[in-house]
Amino acid sequence: MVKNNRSDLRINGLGSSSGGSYNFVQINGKGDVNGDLDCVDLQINGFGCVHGSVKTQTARVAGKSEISGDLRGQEIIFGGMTEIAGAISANRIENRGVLKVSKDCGSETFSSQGGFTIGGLLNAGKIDIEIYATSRAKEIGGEDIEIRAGDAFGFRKFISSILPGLQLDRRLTAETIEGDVVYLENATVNTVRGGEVEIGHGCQIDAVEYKKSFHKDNTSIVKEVKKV
Amino acid sequence: MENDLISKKDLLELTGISYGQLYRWKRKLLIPEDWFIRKSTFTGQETFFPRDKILSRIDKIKDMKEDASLDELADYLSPNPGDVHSDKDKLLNEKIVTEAAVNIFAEAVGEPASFDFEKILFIYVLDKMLLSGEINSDEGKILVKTLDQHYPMFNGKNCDLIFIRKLGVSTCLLVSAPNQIQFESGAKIVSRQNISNCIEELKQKLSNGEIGYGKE
Repeated sequence: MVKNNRSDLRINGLGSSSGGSYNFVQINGKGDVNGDLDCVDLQINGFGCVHGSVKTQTARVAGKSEISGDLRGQEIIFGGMTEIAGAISANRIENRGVLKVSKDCGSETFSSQGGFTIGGLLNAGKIDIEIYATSRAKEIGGEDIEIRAGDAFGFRKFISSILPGLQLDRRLTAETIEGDVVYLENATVNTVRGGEVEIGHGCQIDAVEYKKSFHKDNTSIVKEVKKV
Repeated sequence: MENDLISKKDLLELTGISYGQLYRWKRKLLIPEDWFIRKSTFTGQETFFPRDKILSRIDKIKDMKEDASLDELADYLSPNPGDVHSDKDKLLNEKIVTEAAVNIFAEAVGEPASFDFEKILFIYVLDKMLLSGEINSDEGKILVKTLDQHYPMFNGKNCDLIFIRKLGVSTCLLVSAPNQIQFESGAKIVSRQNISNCIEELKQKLSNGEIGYGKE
């Protein structure tokens, strides 16, 4: 487990390697790692595939990457398209691309400026989401949850102006959202439960249960509100 | 069965904790994943917990939170093989193992004043095989002696315990796993136990009770 005894693994161009313990792992181009990976720092640019689980301190995953197992780390930044067939647990997760996680995703802080699909529970102390592409999670739970519609930026305006039929959907869908402080925009949710709940514009919610306070924007639909 | 479960809503109300706290404790693995039981109710999906377990666990977390960080708590709640100690009474009271198994263990290698994780594990494996009716008490002693002498050599690596019998003569052996072994056709494999699986099961049992907390 001593960092100095570990060597680096670099794949540039086309290559593959077995898993194991490394210090720094970098994949540029198309690289496959066959087996579990234990490293200090992981960087994937281009097309990277890990056929196994990953344990790392920091990870920066860009391009199109796939991990067929779990991902555990301290600080993880996603860009591009990432698919993880297992679960993620980390201290800080930043998503700037399109992230797909099949199981649970747990972190102290989770911020997303992009889109994601989480098959299980998104569990984080502070959840800060700006929706730029369709986002979906089965459940969301945490202390401080803030979900906002991403600001329309130049590129989106440009695309919509030349292709008006194309809907760049900017909604978040979830079965349940539970948190101490919850703020939602553009969300479709079955049940929202929380201490302080504020529903911004563009939401469709079946039921809200709140403890302390509740506010709702006029453009949102909430079928049932209950103070517990 | 219904009475043994408590819904998440009732739990939060009863204990006065918030959603955020519950999710944080779940994240820190203070509350085991398999305590979260999802059920369909007329209001949609709801989460339930085993009432007694979750209430005593939350009490403990609240008690200990004052002088320990959440990470320290997590260590307490997932028993490390190294820091579990218990005496006979506790093991029996918590129903980790049966008295018969402890007695056979004591007859075979002597009764220690305090049982560490490894010893509890041996008794647990013994107990499991006794209860399944695969071995008798004399064979149990062979098993305990084998484990006691040779298990430490595996240094915590995964291994299988294989118990075989031929023409009424029984013996057992430990092999590192995964490994393929073949016996002559007259020999019968009575039982094959994977030690890693046994450790998992035992940890689960310990963490549900008092012993897992490292309290003497």
